[in-house]
Order: sequence, then structure tokens, then C-alpha cells
Amino acid sequence: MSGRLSGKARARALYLFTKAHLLEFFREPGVVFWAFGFPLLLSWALGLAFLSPKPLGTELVVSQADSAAVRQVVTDPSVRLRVLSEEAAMRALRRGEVAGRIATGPDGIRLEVDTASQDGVMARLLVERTLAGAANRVKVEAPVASAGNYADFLFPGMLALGLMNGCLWGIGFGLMDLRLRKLLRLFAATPLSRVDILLSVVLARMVILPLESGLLWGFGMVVFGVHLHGNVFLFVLAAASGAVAFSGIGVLAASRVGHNQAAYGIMNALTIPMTIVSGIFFSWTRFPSWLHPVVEWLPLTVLADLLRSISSEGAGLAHALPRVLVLLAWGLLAGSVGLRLFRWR
Amino acid sequence: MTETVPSIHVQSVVKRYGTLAAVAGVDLSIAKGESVALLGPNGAGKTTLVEMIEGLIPPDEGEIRIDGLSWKTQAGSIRGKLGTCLQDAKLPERLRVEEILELFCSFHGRGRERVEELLLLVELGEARRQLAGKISGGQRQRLALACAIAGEPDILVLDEPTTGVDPAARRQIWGILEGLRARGATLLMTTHFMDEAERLCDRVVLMESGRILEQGTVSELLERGGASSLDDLFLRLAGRRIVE
Repeated sequence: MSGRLSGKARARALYLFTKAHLLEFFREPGVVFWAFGFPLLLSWALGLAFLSPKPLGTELVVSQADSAAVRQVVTDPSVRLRVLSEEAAMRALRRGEVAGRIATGPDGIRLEVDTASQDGVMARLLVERTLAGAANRVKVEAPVASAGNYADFLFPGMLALGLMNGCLWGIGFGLMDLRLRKLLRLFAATPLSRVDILLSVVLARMVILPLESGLLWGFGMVVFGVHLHGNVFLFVLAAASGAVAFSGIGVLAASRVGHNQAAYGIMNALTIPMTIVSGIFFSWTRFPSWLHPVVEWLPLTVLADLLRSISSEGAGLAHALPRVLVLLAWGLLAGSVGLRLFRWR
Repeated sequence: MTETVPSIHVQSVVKRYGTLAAVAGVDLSIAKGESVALLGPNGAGKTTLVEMIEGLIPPDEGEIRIDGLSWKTQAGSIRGKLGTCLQDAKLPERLRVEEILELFCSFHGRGRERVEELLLLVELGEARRQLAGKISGGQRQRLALACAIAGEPDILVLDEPTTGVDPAARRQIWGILEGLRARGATLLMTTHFMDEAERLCDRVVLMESGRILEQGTVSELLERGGASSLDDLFLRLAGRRIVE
């Protein structure tokens, strides 16, 4: 008998093999979710950011003391006013969350906007339009604080993103891979303690992360002129607390996974949404306000905002410490749950 | 009269996965220096039993003692006495043979001289600089065995140590295991191969559906069961062959 299959037998084999793959696929709920559910969720999240109807106009900060007087004369709904304290106003201006600041002055309305920027021009035009015909004059001044260039915004975020990816893929996925290749159980059967096995994975990553982060930040400084206005040690402390947070989450993510596709799925589920919503490439305040209470406490948001506040705004220890503690809490909580659930085989 | 503590003592051990009892009440005692084969088809519960003996999973019921020590309270001490060779375990593919041996020797506090001894013992001297992912299946299995005995364990647990290797490599592994036996090591191995069990082991334990069907020397078992081979005996006892 010939070793080659006849056409009919070959077609049947191909059919059964294809069917077997399909059955395997549909009998694994996790895989089905990552294939169908996750892309839908991701599309939804992106849609929230870019497709929500945004009112045309401009947003300006105003002090509590001036808000009533300004509201009396600036009645155009396209000029939105955000009442903030002095400190919060400065932060909003530096982060580029608002186009400028509006106040009452002895000669009328004082508008602080960057007239070299598109947002500033738009704000000036809208304010002047709403005051046209009125007795008020608009005096335009340069803002006392404004957002730096996009690199100043982007690089702290990219650094945070690198720390997240380094820890989640390096530690989380690294442990999953060891388990899937049955190496974890091989090591676990040796006299080496299980804590040491995990620690060796974490330590290896802690050698790589400073190299990765230093290279990225150095690139930003040299090529884009990124500045570090705050204390360098505080900046390193913030980055280290981020590494602790994501190491713990990495251990938790790796604690139970025993399937190759689930490993990739869980890593993508953790990293992609945070990459989108945590303000790495654009401010997370673009998302609807009902999402803010969740987004602002995500570890990547906390880390990116913290690094940005130290590097761009020169924030000090009093501002940084609570956020460092939040990141450490993320790491310790996730890590301890992960260790409790951890499977060695 | 002093009572000798068995190397491996398994007492009324049960392991369930959901409603399935993978190991359903097993008692087994292996004396120091004894060599025992666990024989049974796929799904008989051999690997689950071995993994519990290796301390990788805890039993739901019963107790396992290694050299009189309990996994519950003396796991660290047991791991120093026990060498394990896992079924289908992949070694780190991007490490060289000697680097892997050095790593495993370091787990037992052993240095370079032990690496040289192991390379000689498992005949991997010429492959020492090769990446583990690039060596043959037989070489890989010998490397896994070398990792298992890196700490010169008193007790060696091997889960299908010759599955997937060619006959020549199998004979090489048999030679290594016979050498370990001669030095007084206790051996527990699972296997599908009757000839392997007959050649290497003092006693054979037949397992099916998580239970021990029979145990004894090969000649005892064949005589008792009136069978011409272990496979025939297993067919009579369990209604199916060991290798189907």
C-alpha cells in the first residue's frame, strides 16, 4: 500500500484536523474571550477617548474669587470655566489640561493664554467674541505656567510604560513561561527555596530595568531636550516604587496560568488597557469623567503622573510620598495574593 | 532489634481532581537501596503519585514520608535527599550543557568538580559547550538525569526516564542507573517499558485507576498470575494492556 493518502482520505483527514482545532478553540473559554471579547472591550475604550462628542470651545481656569464676576460677562457656553485653587490651576496649566487662565482685572478681563498655540488662539477668539459689544476689555498676557513640549509629557509616561512592560512581561510572563516549559516544577523539586526561585526572576529584571530606563531617559534628554526639574533621587524612588507595584502584579498574573494562549491573553489584558487609559500618550482626563475615579488609581496612571509631576513640575516629597505608598500598596497586595495562589506545576 | 526506616513510605494516599480520584488510596513502602518500578498505562495515576512523592503536589488524604521525614514539616531536608527527573521537563534551551549542570550543582552546594564528574558519568563531555536546545533527545535525557543526581541524592525518583529516546540512548541511561543502584541509591521509576522494569528494578508495582493492582518481583508476579509476561498479567488484572 502506498504511504500517500488518496484524495478522499486526505480531505477527510484535513476536515477532521480542522474540526479538532476548532473544537479545541471553542472549548477553551479563556481563548474565546481573548479572541472575541477583548478586542471589543478595547475598541470600546478607544471609542470613549476619541469618539465621544466633545463640545467645541475652550476651557479656562478661574479662581474661586473671580468666578462669579467672570461668569457674569463670559456667558458663551463654548467658553467653559473650571474653578480651581491656585495650586491646582498651576498644575492644570502645566499639564496642558486647560487652554489658559481667566480673571478679572482693573481694566476688564485678564486672559492668560499662549497666543502662539492653537488652543490659546481659540481661547482668545472665543472670549473676545463673547465680550464683543460689551464694555469689558480683554487684556491678553502670557501664561505664568504652561505645558512643556510633548516630549516633556511623553517621556515620563514612556518610562512608566517601560517599567510596567519590563515587570509584567519580564517577571509575570517569564514565570508563566517557566511553568509552561515545566521548568518551574523542575526547579521547585530542588533544594533551592521557592522564594529564591521567584527572587532570582525578580532580581534579573531589577538588573535590566535601570538599564532600560536610563537608556530611554538619556535618549529623551539628548534628542528631545527632556528636563528633570525635580529631585533626581525622588525620581528614582518613584520609578523603583513603580517597579515594586508591577513586580507584584506580575507575580499575581503568573500565579495560575497553565496555558500558552491564556498567558499571552492575560498579559495583553493587563498591559494594553492601561497603556491606553493611563495617560501615556495623551492626558487621561480626555476620558469621560465617570471613568476618572477608576483610571486615576491604576498603577500605571499613578506612576506616570508621579514621574511627570517630578520631572515637569518639580514636585517634592510631600506630593510624591502618598503616591509612592499607593504604588507600594499595589505591589505588596498583588504580590502577596499572587504568592498565596501560586502554582508550581 | 532496630527497625529500618524506609526510604519512601506512602500511607493511604488519595489525590482527587474534581470528582476523579487520580490516586485512590495507595500504600507503598520502598526500603533503602531498593529499586522499584511503577508500571501502568497512561492515566493509571503513576505521575500523580510520583509528583506527590516529589512534594510537588500535596495529597488530599494520607501521608508521604521520605527517609522518615514528612513533606508537611521537613520539605527542605527532603529536597536535599531526593533527586528527581520529571517527565517531559524541558531544560533551559539557551544555556550550555555545562552551565545547566553548574546551575543544578549549585542548588546542592556543589561546585565545578561535581560538574566534571557528572559530565564524565553521563558521557556529555564533548557536548559541554553546546546549547541544551541543540543537543539530541538522548543527550537531553542524560542531561536531565545528571541534573537529578547533581546532589548525589540517596533517593532518585524518575518519571519515564527513557520515554522518547532511541534504543542506544536508553541502554546508556540504563547503564547510568545500574551504576547508581550499585552505589546503594534507592530508585523509584515510572515506565511503560517491561524490559526496563525487569532489568533495573527489584520490585514492580502495577497501577491502574489510581490503585495498586499487584506488586512483587517480576518472577513472583508472573508465577502468581500464571502469565507469560507483565503485559499479559496486566491484561488479565485490568482488562487492558500497559501500552495500548
